[in-house]
Amino acid sequence: MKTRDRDRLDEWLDKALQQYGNAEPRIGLESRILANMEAAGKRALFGYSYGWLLAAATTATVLIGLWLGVWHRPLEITKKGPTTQIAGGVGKQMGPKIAPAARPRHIGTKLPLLRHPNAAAAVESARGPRLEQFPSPRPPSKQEVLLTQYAEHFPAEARLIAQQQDKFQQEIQQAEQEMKDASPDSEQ
Amino acid sequence: MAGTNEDALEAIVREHARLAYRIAYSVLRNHHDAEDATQEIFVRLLRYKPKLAGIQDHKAWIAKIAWRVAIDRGKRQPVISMSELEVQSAAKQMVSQLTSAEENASGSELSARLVSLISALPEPLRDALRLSTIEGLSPAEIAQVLESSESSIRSRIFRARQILKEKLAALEGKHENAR
Repeated sequence: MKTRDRDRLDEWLDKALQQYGNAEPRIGLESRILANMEAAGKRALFGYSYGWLLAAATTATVLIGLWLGVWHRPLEITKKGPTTQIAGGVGKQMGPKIAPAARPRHIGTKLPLLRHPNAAAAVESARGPRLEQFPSPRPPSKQEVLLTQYAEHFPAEARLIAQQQDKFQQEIQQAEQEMKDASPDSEQ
Repeated sequence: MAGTNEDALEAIVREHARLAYRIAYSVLRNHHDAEDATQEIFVRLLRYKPKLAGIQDHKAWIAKIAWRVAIDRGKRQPVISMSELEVQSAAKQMVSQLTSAEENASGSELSARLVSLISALPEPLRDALRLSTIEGLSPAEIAQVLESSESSIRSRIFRARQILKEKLAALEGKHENAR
């Protein structure tokens, strides 16, 4: 009895599993697949060519950007020159050692200019017409004011002092030259 | 050369599209999803077009791709986990249909119940059993698809059938006692 039941169950399971795996697609599956594959192939080809176009456009943009950057940068520096020179002089003692023509190393950088308290004044002066010699970007110091006042009030004394200073300077230079000539290196 | 490849591809589609569809259907249990999966399988095949000539067994190769695609798609579907109670209820309904006079008429309904029972099987047994139900797929080919040995596949199918039969027999007994 049990064996018969088992056989019956087996038979039924075989049938049920066959039915389970028996799935029929809608008519024309192969044609639909082939059509889809053809479309996918075309899309891939289209995407491939568009990929090349996109790459070419990107490269062109980058090259143009580089070209513009290279050719326009020097102009920018020239324009910014006076402003940065002023910025370089700000906060330093103005004298013969700091020549206005001496270009500071941080040329082109904007940060010192913007951060400095006198930056606004420097920018204002830069906006004006181009001058032969740059005016001092800062007000004269107390010593400079006193010296100017002294020269105004006592021009003869001031001239005499200046002459004496020049004479003293020449003497020092002469002494230096003599020392150089007398050194053993120069004899050789 | 390109023409030859196109022809080979078309021949493969015509020969194995149904097999791919059945494999996809065995996992997804939905005609619409199975067809989408079949389309995906053959679109993937386009990538291997230049290598087609080097493939020995196209059938096993496509079966393997079809299985992977179907499993991937199945993972994206919401998982319907069945509790032991639900499995028993499905089996009970099956048994009652099995013993009824309308056994032949309600074949599709029986099949739907069987899906629930098969889904509740452990994964290795379930996979082997699912593929074994597909017409024209031998245990050796199933072994290639599941990357296992043929003997292991045979053993898994046997064990899966045993479990199904035991569940059905136990429930059939209960059903008859209740009568």
